[in-house]
Amino acid sequence: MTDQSTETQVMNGAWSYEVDEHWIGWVRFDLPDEKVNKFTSAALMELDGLLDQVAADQSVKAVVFVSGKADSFIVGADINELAGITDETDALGKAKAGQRVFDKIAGLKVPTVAVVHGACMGGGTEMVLACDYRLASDDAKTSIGLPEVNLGILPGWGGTQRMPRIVGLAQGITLIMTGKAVVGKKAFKLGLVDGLVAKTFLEEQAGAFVGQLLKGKGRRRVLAKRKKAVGKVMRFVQWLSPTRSLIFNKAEKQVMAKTKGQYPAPLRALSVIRETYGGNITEGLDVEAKAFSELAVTDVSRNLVWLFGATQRAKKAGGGKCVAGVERAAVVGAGVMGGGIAWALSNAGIDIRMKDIAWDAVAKGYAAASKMFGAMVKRRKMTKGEMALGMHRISGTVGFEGFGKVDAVIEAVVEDMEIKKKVLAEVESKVGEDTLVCTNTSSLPVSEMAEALERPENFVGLHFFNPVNRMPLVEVIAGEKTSEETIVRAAALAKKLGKTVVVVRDSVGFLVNRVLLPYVNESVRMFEEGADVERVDRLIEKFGMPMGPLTLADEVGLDVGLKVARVLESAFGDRMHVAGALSEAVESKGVKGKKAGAGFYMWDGKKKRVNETLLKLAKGSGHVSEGELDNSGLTDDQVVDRAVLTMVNEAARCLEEGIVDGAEDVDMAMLMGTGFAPFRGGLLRWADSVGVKQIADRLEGLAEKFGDRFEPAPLIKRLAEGGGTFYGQPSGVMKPAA
Amino acid sequence: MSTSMNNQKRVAIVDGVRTAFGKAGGGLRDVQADDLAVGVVKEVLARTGVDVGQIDEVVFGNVAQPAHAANIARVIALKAGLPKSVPCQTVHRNCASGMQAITTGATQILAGRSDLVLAGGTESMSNIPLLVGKQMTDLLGALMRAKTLGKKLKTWSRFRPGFLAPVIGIKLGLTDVVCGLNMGQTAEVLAREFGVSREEQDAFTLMSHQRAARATEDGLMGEEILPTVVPPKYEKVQAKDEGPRAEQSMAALGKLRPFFDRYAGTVTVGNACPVTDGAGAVLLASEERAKAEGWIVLGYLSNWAYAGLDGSRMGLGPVYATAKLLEQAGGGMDEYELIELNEAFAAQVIANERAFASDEFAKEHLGQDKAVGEIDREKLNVNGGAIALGHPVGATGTRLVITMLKELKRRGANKGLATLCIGGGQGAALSLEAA
Repeated sequence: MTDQSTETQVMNGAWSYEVDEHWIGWVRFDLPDEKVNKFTSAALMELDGLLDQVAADQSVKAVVFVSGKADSFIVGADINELAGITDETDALGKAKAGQRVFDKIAGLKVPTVAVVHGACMGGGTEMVLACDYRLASDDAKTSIGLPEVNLGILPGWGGTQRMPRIVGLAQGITLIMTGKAVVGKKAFKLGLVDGLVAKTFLEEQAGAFVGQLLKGKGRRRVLAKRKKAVGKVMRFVQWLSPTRSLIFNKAEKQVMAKTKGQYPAPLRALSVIRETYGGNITEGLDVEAKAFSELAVTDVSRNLVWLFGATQRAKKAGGGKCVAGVERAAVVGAGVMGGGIAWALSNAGIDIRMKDIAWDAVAKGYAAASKMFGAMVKRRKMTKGEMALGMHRISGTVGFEGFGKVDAVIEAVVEDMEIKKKVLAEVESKVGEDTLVCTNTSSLPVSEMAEALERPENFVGLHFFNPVNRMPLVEVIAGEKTSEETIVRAAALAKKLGKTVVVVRDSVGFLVNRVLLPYVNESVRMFEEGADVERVDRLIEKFGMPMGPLTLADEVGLDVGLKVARVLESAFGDRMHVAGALSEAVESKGVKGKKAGAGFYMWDGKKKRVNETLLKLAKGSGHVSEGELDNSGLTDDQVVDRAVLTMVNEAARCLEEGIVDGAEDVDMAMLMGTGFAPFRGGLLRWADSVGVKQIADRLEGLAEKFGDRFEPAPLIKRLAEGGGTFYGQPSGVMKPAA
Repeated sequence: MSTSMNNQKRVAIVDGVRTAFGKAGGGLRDVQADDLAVGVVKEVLARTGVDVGQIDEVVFGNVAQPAHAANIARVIALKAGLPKSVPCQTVHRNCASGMQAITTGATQILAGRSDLVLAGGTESMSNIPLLVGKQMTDLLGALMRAKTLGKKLKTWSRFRPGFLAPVIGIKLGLTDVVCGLNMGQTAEVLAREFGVSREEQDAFTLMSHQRAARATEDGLMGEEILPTVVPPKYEKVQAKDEGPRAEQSMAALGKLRPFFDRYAGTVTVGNACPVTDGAGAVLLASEERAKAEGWIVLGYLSNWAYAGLDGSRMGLGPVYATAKLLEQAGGGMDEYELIELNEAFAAQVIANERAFASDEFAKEHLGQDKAVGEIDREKLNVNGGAIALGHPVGATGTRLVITMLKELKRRGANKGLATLCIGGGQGAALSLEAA
């Protein structure tokens, strides 16, 4: 490094370029003042300029792209810029800008190598794909993916073109359409990267790789390996037109089954690949940019981008960086919930005492936890050995031995106020002064339970949803006497378990159940009036809920649902009046839902058919096919409105009562707690997009026809009159002084 | 030496717990030795409330040493969530391994090298593997070295069906390679030497079952057992020992044919201890430490001795070891209010009773003028023994200590002797005291 002017040049800003003694040029991305690298427009422009300079450098033999961040490569394009896209033309311009820069990389005369360590997503991956060769670290922090479809768009900087070219058609489609990232080792297996390096020796090993490349033999070996990764058979299959069609058709079927056609992005990505695969890349890039620009301005994409931001914000809810300080915990009550919570704790590395009154009950908790670990092993999220360690972190007991050492206790016994009070009082007497005492309740008031306790300030509600391993939400319920510190600790614990936290005020049903149950109840009423079970479910699924309300009732258990519905009715009165068919089904017919094989449907494993015996509770209904009306005389719109607007109406009341801080909390809770249609962007965001005035009108129409329970909530009336939106409400202002 | 040992400090046994003992191939057959022990280790930690970071060492006894868990003590400790910083060793003294763990821990404590030791023993005799014979091993080795197809075929041509006969690991383990007898055969040796009849053996067996069944029924065994929720399905809970039979009878025992000497023998599978799975663990502490922590301890280990003898008469280990213990500690057999003498075989226990009581034996074999001391059956194995409960070889030593201390406490008694015979020709004897 003698001649500074040619060998070492440092750019100001995000990118630097340095040529080492072997005449290898190192291009390093290190976005100032940020923890991770992302492609802002400015960073992209800067790279553009740098590449011209690199191209002009005649002395350099190869160019290597690396990240200057410790454990992160490039996380993709700046999501704020994505959210800021104004129209199709703007979007098209953004796509073309990236494509042009990456084309420059692809056009460099010398070999180019990207060395990936840490997260490499979206635009980062597309940059890497534009290089001639790729290396990845074998570190667990490394993952490479194209998650664009999760934001309702597609890879618009060449991803749809270069990915299938490199890893083959089938794998390329899978990576793009699922948006799933792969670790280094998997990427190597797929041929997505050409070698693995150790983080510690990243530059040395990358340098050695380049050294090999510069010999013709080494280059041929790398390319042969890449070809082998795709496989002879697959190369033949994707070359032959009929079998190639087969790949596309199968992919389309899979994505339709998964998205029910409600998410346009994966389908569009598929059609782009279908149209351009095997063709000229310049033309392909044009098609890609066009598709990107159209998707970027759809409501679905806007909603998903918002959701991404909201999820990030939710991670900070209830105290940002606080650590739970929980190394040991206890779970009391080893039922399905208790076992599930024990799993969640163990999976987070926490040692657990799992207590119940008898060993047979303890065994049920073990079985529940084992099932969840087993599912992870099956999905290769962990090894059998790790599962064994996880199960060993749980130790069963029928006494209180070991409780003196725990940092937190989560009670998950039956939903019965008196039993819970008794158990909690006993638990409190066995644990330390500072131990966090939590109750997992779905609807019982936390403040009332606290009456049984000596230290109510340490007591908090922690409402997990069933099944614990699949439901990402936890409602943290602050009782009247719960201390601020306890809320923060509880929220931190839930986050440590990987959950999204919504802090809610202590009121019957909290948020999610209070909003969701009236919706299920209303659906049962429609069934009573003669609506076809399958039709109701079909229409609501079409709206975007993950499953229909009557299927949901069966999944949850009609008896469990009835219990909560009764609690809500006694608290909120007539508008929550329990549908007669629900109480009769449970109490006269003894129907309990999926777990007992019969509910609104007869269940046989995952298969279901309408339970004919329950039809006696309804105004005689037969099956109707799509588009037909049933005995209820309800139109499709009426079915959807009665179900969905019931939720909006109740959510508005919760907002007004200050159950949560703002509309975004409601939406996040419903998204995470019920799987509310993400492409609609959340319950209240959807209501805002429809217009609160229209919502109010439709509710009034329903009230006229079907009863007072549809009377719009005062907040809705106010917003409708003033032309406001739910999201226009400043958060927290409606919260009564605590 | 005997004087200094006499004034030896005591080591506190803070608490202890064991699994239920399952017959080999029974309820615990799917649980490996390391996994069996994890539950009891965690339970001892929970019951004592000890700060796991303060444990100085983990010592575990295990005989079969499963191939997947080299230094099984370390595997158990880490699976049980002990800090990585805690060192662990596995000890092996055959049938006394579960006692060796305790005395090794005690030695460390008495030497001032440790203050808190987690000790125990574990064995899954259900999971002792069948081995591939030497010829087959050589063949497989050669196959791995053969690079070309031709060489591979040529190597395979050496194969004979006889190579496939498995070597039964457990059978090897229970055979003394030096004297050439298996454990049952050594019991036959003692039956002949001491004239222990088949009927006497069966009567003792019946007593063991009745006592163990009663102790189970009355919940005494429940006090020392941590139920195991059995993986991988977690549907079954093993809360009771599988061995004891309340309905055992002389008639049923009489029907069994001698197993080790089919023609002139007296030892049957009935009057021998069964092959068994189980684990136990205790927390050891220096007496000062236990007092400083304010622990209400289970009891104390005040002295112990190991002795060696002829392998073909290994069953007499208890009398040799106890003689040595008494010589060290001073005092006589009458000081012990309870005795746990491990029941490897009924013939072997009865032979010990006779040897303990015999002046002649003492003169001839122990170099003492007088008999070691008579054993009162009312003090002996009052809650049954291994013939009924089973003998998971690596775990039994730990069980004897736990069982003894719990019974001393129940009776308000003070001193107990726990002694055991050891395959290969050794004996162990521990002097235990109630808290």
